[in-house]
Amino acid sequence: MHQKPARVFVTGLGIISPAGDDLAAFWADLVAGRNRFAELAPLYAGMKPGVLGGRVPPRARAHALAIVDEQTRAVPRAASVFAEYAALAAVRDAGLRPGDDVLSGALVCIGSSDGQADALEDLVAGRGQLTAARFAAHSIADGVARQVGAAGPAFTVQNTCASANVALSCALEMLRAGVADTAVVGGCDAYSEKNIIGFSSLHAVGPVPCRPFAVDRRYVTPSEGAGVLVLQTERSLRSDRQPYAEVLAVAVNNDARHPTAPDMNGVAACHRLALRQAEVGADDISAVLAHGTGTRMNDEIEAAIFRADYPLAAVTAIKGTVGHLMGAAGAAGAVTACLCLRFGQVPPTAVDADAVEPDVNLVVGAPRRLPGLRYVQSNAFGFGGNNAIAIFRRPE
Amino acid sequence: MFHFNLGHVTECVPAHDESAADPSGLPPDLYDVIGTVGDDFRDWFTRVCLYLVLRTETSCPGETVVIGTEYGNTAALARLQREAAVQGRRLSAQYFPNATSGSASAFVNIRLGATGRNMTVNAGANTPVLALWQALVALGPIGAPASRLLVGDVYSAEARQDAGRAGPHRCRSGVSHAIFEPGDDYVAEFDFRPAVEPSGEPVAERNGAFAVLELLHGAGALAPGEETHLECRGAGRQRARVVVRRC
Repeated sequence: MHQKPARVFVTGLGIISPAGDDLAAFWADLVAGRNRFAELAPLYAGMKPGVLGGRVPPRARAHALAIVDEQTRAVPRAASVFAEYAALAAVRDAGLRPGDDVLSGALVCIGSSDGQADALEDLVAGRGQLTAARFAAHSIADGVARQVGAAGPAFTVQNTCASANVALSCALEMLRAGVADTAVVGGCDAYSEKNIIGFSSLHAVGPVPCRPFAVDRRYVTPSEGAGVLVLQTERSLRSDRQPYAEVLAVAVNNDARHPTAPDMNGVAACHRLALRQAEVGADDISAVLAHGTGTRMNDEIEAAIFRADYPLAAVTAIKGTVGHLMGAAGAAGAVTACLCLRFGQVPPTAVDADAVEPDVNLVVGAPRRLPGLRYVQSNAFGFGGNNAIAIFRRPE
Repeated sequence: MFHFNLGHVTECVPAHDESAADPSGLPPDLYDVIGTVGDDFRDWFTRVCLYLVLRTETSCPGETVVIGTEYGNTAALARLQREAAVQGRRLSAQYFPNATSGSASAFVNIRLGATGRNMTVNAGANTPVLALWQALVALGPIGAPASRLLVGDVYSAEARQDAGRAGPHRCRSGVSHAIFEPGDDYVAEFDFRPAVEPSGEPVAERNGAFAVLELLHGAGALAPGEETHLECRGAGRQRARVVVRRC
């Protein structure tokens, strides 16, 4: 007899970002549309001065470092510090403690585009405190597993800026297949020189903040941090805890067209796949966390899909506020989706109302109250034609 | 439990002289198969992955591609950093697309026209079993028409140095490649329950490509009712085991 797959719920959230080291600070910046971008020092002769980026504030970084264990502190690779800190926060938020039975067989899946970038970059440049640190990216997931006391499968997924949503998809499939009842899943990326150099070589970063869906948008604002979610199957839920959301689907596909440019057909196909897997229609989706990088091509494609298929959904893009967290972007989106469902409101996109692309139902100015908010979609796309879309539902 | 049919199983195992920048013993038809356009910006991991997938003529839209690797495109990442320092304003924009952690996957998907689920998975010593799980789940609940698995590494100097820090083990370059299709020739059962004690021994062979090859070549030789297995041990008590049985 075919068994119905387990229902999966989000029970804990943790995040560290340019907004700070907790959920409240993150949500406060989103709701206020407040960014904390600062100029990045040029990294090579081809990089123009004044490029903006978002960094985790020193106080938040120091706090994270104080929370993680001695093994991580001894070799403080930023991606690991961020991911482990966010995981511990998510576990705590779920009402769990490292080493709890419910975590002992948990699976850990972390998406990251740049992995242990600082360790590899120090090694290549022959400088810095991390030249002897391991940079293999699985060490990120292994570290999270160690922190939370999980001994189930642990792995890192690398799908460029869609990494965290792909990690979420992997965890969802494994929970539904019965591999575990709990997952600690998310994304992380720390400031990567290689990444900034790469975006600079494409003239995609600059002195103006990311302005998603603005008519005159131009630049990506690279950022850093980590977001982690605790997922639990229905049978492992505690009766005294109210989950943030049910994860209905996380669709993953590939454009198979171009190494950097997104493709309308592939992105649209991923939208259809997500809706089909979630067994909902586009009309059911009340809010969309767009990928919204602030680049001409990405936002043009998403805007066309939203106009055609999601005309009533409240669309927002958080990269104008917290920047583009790269491989953690999907995790920031997933955390935001859960908070939208919890608070019944959608934070604004940090652009002026009169600058928005025509006919995009973008939330600007004040947060939009949606007390009956039931379904939220969160998009994450990346170089290499990577597309991944998650759909969350408010728990019954 | 996943049911599947096993298609091509192939490998590319370059020889490796640690003092040389490039591997040797490469297939003589390498560039006939993968072409030379944009090759200046590729690293050897991308080249070998492309060779393996393009040498087999089967491909279908909607297929899944899973790459399991510990170091992947590390060589291209390191090169971008070095070239930026040397070339400055003259740095070509073509380096970056070849220098992401998912570059091999991107170019494999583009060249195959593979529009299905795809991912680059790194589970350290457990990579062979985890990547196989992800390839096979795509055939079942996700409904992919085919699933393609590439596992392995072509070690750059940095990767070799990093692997050496994980303990004494053999560190041969090589990538395995397999195609899975929906069917009932085989059944695979996975077990990820933690081990009782932490693993104390470093793996004898770092590169998971060879474990996958042994498993799948072994599966290909099974008579009905026979089985073969692969067990890996990761960090701490992490354990991953798969049993493949011929139906």
